[in-house]
Amino acid sequence: MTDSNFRTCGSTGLKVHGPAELLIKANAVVSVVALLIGAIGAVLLVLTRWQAVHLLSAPWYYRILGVHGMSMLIFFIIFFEMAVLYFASTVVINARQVMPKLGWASFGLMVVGAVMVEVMMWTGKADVLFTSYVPLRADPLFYLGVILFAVGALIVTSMFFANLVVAKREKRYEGSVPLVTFGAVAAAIIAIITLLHGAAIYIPTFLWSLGLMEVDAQIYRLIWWGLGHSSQQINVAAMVAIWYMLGALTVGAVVINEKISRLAFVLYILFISMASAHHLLVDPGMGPTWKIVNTSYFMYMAVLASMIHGFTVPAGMELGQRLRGFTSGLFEWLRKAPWSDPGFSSLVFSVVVFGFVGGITGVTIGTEQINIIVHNTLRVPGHFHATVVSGTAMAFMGATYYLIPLIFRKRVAFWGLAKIQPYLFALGMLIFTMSMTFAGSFGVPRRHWDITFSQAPFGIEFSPAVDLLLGIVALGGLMAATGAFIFVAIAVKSVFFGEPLGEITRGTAMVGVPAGLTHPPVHSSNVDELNAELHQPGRSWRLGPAPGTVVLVGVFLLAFVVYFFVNWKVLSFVWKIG
Amino acid sequence: MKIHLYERVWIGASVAMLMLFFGSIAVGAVGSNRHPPSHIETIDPTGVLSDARFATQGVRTDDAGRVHAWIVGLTFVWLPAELVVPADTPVTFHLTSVDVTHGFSIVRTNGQTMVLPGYVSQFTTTFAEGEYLIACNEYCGLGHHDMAAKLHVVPPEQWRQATTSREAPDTTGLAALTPEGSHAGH
Repeated sequence: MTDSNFRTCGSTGLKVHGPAELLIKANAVVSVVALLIGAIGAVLLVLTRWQAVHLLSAPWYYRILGVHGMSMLIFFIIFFEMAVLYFASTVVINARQVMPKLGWASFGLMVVGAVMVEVMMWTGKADVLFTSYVPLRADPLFYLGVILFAVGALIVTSMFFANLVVAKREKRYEGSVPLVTFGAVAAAIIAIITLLHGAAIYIPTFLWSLGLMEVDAQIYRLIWWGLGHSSQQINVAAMVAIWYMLGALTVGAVVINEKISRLAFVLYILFISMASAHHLLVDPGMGPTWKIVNTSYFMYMAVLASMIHGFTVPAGMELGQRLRGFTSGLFEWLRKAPWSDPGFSSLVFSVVVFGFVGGITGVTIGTEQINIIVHNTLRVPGHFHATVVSGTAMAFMGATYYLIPLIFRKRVAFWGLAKIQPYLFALGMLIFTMSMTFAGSFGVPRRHWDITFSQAPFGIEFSPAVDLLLGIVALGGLMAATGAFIFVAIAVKSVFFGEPLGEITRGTAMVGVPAGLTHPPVHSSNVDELNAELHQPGRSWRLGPAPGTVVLVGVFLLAFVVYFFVNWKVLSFVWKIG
Repeated sequence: MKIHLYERVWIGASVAMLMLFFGSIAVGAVGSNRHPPSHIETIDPTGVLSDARFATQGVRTDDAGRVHAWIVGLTFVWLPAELVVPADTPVTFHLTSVDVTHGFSIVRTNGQTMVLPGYVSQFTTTFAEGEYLIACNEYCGLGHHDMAAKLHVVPPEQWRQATTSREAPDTTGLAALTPEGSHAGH
């Protein structure tokens, strides 16, 4: 393979391999299509759970709930992750794509699988929701579609490793892989674990749907969550890798301690499969010791990894800003940050909402005892929309604002809208997740068409506050969905009808080009002086080189502990402790 | 490996927080024996209604005077659809499913368990007097939202009178206790 298939990126100096670029584009485009389907589903769903509107009929509510889950959590996110894997194993390390034809074959498999699943769901042949718990039965083609999709994803993940091996052999990069690629390696290893669980459960389930074998309901739940939860950890690892990338691109974030960050990624790989046991806390088939060991000790090792990233990412951003000369006070580095760069605002919202809402609620409701007042209430989707939507999807959107100029070589369309899109989306999701969490604390079940129980032979009602809260859920959901539609419009217009990027002149703002590219964050000329000053003992009330971050994570830790023990208190009302 | 002071402090604080959380789980689990339903018992899902444990559903007291509720889930009802139990008295629930996976949730209490075909879920809890909604909180098919039941928690003396006034030990005591007594038939 000659180097003739490479072009050199004008803004970053990275070498981009043509065949890799095409695969990145194709996967990203399909991902956005899935996002559009999922977002339309989201609008229909919030308008149904808002009891005053109650838009869809019961069958269509459940059908669309399944479509929304599969389109968002599987097709949108995994196609995007395929693009991230191609990107991190080629562009980031100046390497070439091996076996591009195999890449296209697996892309084809994934698209065919996804279409099969969508068709089965839309036509009412797979009203089994996202989790498809056996013995709820769907058409065999539904399970086959999932299997084809997973096989495609498994091949792409294997090609990711092949790319790395070939790049090493061809000496495309020196030393160890960059941290962004390392994060992608973690995501890819977890993806292999996840997809093997997927095979272990969907192949027997496919055979069961054909009447060829039996599948136990509890075993299904056990192995399925090895797929269902571990796949969320692919998202987290990919998201954190993007945090490091966006931090570097937008504010020149430094990685304070490469080894610690890498170690944190390794913790994800080692511990996350076991942590999926928190989905089974009120299941009859496992004993308490199994539940406690898996959901505290093992889960907490993975939580520790997120705590580490939650410190090193903002601290790295603060240091980057301080080294650029924004040194005064605790928060000048934040005030003077590029808030109108959608890559930056997406990054900040992703970190903050993932941590404060998603992380705190997740650890709390995954506690062996507390889970009993939370399981399958609206608090659960309240939690995971904060992680996977406000966290992962937001980070992916932020990354897209940079992928459009860097990979597609187009300007970002509707630039004015693009600048406010992260604000609209993040605020909408914040309202949505918090009101959903509150509604759930009244015991309102998730995945439920009619919480008025109008068909029941007796009268019973939830607190009237629930009606108000579900109205606010709808409001937040509609805001966030609007943000998602704007994102889709921006992505489609930019990619297919966008203005070519043209030459970037450093220091000159350009419409449709994020500030990180027109004004690359370079450290000030007296960087060594600033660095020495930052590390002087005793400065900034002894809060160290990144005092703003120390204050912020202190608030975070306090909120974490308070929320956790407030939940114990609530639990004590129904379960006298001691 | 050199770790910066502030990273060390943060990792230390995170570990301390997680140990505190773990400690609270341990105190709850070992100290007070508080657990979610983790009772491992199996049953042939095709023979539930002929199984001695579930042939008659409802509330019964055992020889030691302890109160048990035997409940079967099937799409889209709980059998029985109304239950009466005494207040401030430990009640042990036993549940199973004859078809798909259900979620048994006595709303705003700690009465909560997954109900899986082939398994008997069991948990014991106490209730304050009042009326409680029992919902199915795991999607079980297109009529999932219709799967609901009601729990009446009455003063213990009243409950005992109602049960002893009947001969059958498996009474739900419903007719004597609720205005909607006519529903007791199913």
